[in-house]
Amino acid sequence: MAYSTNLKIELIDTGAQAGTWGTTTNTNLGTALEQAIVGSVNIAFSSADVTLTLNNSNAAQDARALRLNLTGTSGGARNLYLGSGCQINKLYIVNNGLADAVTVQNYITGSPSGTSVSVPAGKTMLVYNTSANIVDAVTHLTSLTLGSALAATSGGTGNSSYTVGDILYASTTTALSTLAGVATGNALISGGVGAAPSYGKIGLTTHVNGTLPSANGGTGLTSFTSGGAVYATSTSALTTGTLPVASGGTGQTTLTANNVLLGNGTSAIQSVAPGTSGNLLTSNGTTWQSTALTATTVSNAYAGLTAGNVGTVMMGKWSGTSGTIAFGDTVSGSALTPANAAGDSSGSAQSGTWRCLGFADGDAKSGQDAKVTLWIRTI
Amino acid sequence: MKTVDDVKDMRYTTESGDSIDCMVKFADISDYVPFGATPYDPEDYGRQIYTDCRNGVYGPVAPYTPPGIPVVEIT
Repeated sequence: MAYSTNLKIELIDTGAQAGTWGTTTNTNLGTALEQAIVGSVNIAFSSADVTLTLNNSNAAQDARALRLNLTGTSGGARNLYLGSGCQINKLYIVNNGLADAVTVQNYITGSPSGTSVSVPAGKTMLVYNTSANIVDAVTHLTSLTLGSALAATSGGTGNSSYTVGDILYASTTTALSTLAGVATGNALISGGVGAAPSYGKIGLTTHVNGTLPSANGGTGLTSFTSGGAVYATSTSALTTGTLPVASGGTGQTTLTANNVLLGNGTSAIQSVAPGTSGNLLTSNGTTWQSTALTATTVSNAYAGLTAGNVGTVMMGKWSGTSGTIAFGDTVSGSALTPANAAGDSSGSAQSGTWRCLGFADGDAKSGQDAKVTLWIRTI
Repeated sequence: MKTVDDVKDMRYTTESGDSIDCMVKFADISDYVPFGATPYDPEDYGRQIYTDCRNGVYGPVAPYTPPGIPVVEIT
């Protein structure tokens, strides 16, 4: 007798089985084909692998059934081998009712052969035997609708709806949760290792690392000189410390009381101490110093005066025609002309403001010489 | 150089106009002081005041008034 290659259907030779072919045909249809199309068999495990075989017989055979319902005790991960006669093209529905995963694989001449598919415990899979390899029967679906959200443990999210702005995060080792959006400007902040994140404001003292550079509006500094200034050392850098002369400062951190400050180019300013009481601030032609007033100092000062400068002492005639000018009074220079003790005047009216160092009488009856006295130009 | 805040009461004291009697308010002095402004003042600010007065910076300068003949009491 001959049998079909895959399902082992008995093939009746032409003219054969006269009077009995009906029985054979009924077995082919009612047993073998029905089992292959809709049949489901229990495959019992007893803490060991199971090997199925398929023989040339149209009698019911487990390896021909569409659905293999794995039952019993696994006692660990097991194998369901498709052994002798099972290297055919055939679809299986494998329902793993065991406590452990079961790997479906061909088994040829005493060894596992070809690729395999592992059916997780409690799961049902469609697998296909290509005669050499066991593969997933379905690897692509044009569309798929699930009755409930695909769990995170299966690569889904476990969520079926969202609010706009939600983000997902792992709330447990096997679940994703949503974090709802908050007001504009908040940032997503880590809750730490193993903790949920949250939205909030960035804490400048706790959440910021690094120093904001000047190019980004910061200072580029992490500490400052106490009492110092922050100033630009270039077009792109700030520093802290005593403000130098080049930046409009003094370059000094202390200034001695009552000292006079002296310029020193771009170097720190210098100072001159008051020195001895009565000293003058004098130039030596290069810088300034505190020196005692000497006859030389005074004579040099007078030597530098032009007659008529402030400080000029003059015997002058007051032009007033009444009243008097007392010692210490001031008059306009336009009222004074150089004069002698006889009351004669010569030259032009004077410039500036003059202080009387004597006494002048404007009364006509007192005589012209009464208008002449000593004056000093003060302004 | 002294800073001048204001000048007032200007009047020529010579017919030639080379001397102006006035009151000057300097920045470093609290009150107006009598001042003789001339073009030959050895002090720069004095010459500047004279020039400014002549240019009307502080208003018109009163004209020169010749001095009257002094009355002398006969005894």
